[in-house]
Amino acid sequence: MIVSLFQRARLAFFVLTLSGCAGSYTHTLNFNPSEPIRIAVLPFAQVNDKGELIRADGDLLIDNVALVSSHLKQTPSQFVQTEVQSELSKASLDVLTPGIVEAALVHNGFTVPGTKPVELDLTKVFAAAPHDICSKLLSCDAVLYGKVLKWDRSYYGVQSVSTVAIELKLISAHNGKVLFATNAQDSDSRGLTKGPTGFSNIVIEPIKGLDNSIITALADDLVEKSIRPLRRDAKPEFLQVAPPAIIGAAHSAEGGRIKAGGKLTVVALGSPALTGTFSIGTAVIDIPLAERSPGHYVGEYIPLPTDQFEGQQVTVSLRDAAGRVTQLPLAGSGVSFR
Amino acid sequence: MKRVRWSSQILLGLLSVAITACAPKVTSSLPVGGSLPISLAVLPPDYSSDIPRERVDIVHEAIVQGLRNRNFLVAEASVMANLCSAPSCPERSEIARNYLIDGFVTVKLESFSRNNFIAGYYNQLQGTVSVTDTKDTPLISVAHTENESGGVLLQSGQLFQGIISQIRHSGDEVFDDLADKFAHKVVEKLPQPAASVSMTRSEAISLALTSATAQWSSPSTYTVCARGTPHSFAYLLLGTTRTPLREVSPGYYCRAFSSLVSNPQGGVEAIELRTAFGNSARQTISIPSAPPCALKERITPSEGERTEILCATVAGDDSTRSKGCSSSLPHCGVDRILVYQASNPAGPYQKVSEQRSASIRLPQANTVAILAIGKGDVSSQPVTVEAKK
Repeated sequence: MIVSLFQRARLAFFVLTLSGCAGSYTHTLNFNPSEPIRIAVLPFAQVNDKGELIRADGDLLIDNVALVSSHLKQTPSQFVQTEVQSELSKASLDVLTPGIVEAALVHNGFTVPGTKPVELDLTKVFAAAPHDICSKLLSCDAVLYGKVLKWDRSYYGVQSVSTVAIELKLISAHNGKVLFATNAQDSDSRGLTKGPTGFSNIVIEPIKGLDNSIITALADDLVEKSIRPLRRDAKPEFLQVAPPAIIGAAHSAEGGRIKAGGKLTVVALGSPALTGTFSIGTAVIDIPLAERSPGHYVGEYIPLPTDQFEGQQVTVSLRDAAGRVTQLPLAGSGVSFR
Repeated sequence: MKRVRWSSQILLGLLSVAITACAPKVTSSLPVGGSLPISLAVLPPDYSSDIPRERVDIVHEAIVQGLRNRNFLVAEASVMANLCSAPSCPERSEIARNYLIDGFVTVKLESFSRNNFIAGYYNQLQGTVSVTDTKDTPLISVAHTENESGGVLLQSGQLFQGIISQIRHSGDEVFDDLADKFAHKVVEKLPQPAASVSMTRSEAISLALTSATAQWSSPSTYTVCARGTPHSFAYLLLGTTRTPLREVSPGYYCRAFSSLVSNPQGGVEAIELRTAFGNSARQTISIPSAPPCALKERITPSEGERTEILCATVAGDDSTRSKGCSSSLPHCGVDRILVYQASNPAGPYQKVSEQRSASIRLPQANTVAILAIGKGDVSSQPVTVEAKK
């Protein structure tokens, strides 16, 4: 009787361990993510339990379960890197084009000699100082390093568990400070813990759980949660304050014409402490509006002698820290200058 | 035995049909093993379909990012939005010539349907991505229908997983996932770029920013100019704001700014030059806090008939060069001093003299106004001096 109870408890513990639903995410953020700093994402690496860089295993994503899975051409580190790059495009960071970063590394001796196609020497890449990368190779403010700490698929007969762990570090090229760091690990399981709906499914579902679509979806989710602190729309204050409002705006061009040697003054009244700009059609874009007193914005456009446009609509925009923009096209038939 | 073989063959056939039904359909005029041009531009989104524009934008961004992840050089979306007058972009040949673009990508979304019934969900996104060369010759086209299904009913093998996926897909972010998958599968079907960035089109990413200046052009305006690679995009960066400069002649970018434009919150003050592909070069500049030789803090109280301009050189007169200088009052140079007089501060003012010395001779009048004229005939704000009686 006692033995049976002990066995049940052990099974329950086993099942709970395998289900592995709760991921662990640790973030450090030491800068204002709405500041448009330029970052270079360096090639990601995979590391072993000791933290040593290991050569990417090209077979890791090629599953051995025929007919239940499609073939992916990337290694775990390449896959996670592309996911991170895609997620970063949703943040307000200015991410250098991956092709340009790779070209700069290839051109500056960060390759394994004699490899064809050319292979990057990750040990050398990770050993390079961010300052050197941003000043000598590229033009950037910070460097993002990424490591895949874990990429496991385990099969236990009635259960299969996929686990992914990553580490990301954004280092300032100016002072070497860690601007952002995240350490994340998460798991997903198929089989007993997910409630098989028939006896055959007890056997089939754990096998289907080895499909690379499960682990790549897990990695996708993990990356999305890891990058979330950098996304402006994910900041908690996003939902706590009202979006920008423009109560009224006007410009100074009488009859819609800016006189030679004159200027166009635009005033707007709206929500205070925001970033204001105005544009004149597509001819003049994003002239800043200065907030002279709370909610009162003033800006001036001074035409250059070469400027010329006809009947362009003036539009005032206010943007908040969460990236939300409110625009107000000014009444009238637009302004002209020649 | 024969029946078993037949049934397994039918099963295999059904399975193949099921798999091929989900695969993107590729139409290519490229030779076998051919490649695509490395520098591409995705044409602006076409919002004419029934799909909301925010969703069209999400798919567009996913395609652009997918292409970049495959090491294509892709022109920035904002660049294309500003250069193209319509989604079909009739300015293509000019853009290709000026910005070294070798191919254009069109994303056409045909339909999106979302079916969420309590026990399951089924979402579908259908569209085509085509690539043409600079002469509008089709190179490749990938048509794809991305499906996503799940929930308790459609994920019948795993009850709890079905419930979890049903909850996860109840929100609007379901479209993001679908767009990402659509983009991933379509871009995966495109051939590799013609060569690595290092081999071709290096001129498309190389960039030179040779000079950047910010100078007062009048007491209330300053002009920011930069010289660098032609057909690029120059910006004045002040803190978190980015204001574009205009290319007034090939490789010369300028814009006049009001003195209202400053950088009160601090942060970066720089000129940035970007290629259409987002590669950039920066040079820091200092936004002048006041026009040259602001006289307000420099005028000493008048002593009899004279007053002095501190820490200045006026037309070669160095007599007050080091007098009264501090970190807040740096040395400045003035070409000449204009002196005006009036019977009361409200005016009218009358020009009395034009002087070329740091020690200024004042007229016998109730109110005297002094104006400094600096380099390029830029004048300072006038300062009034009450004459000693």
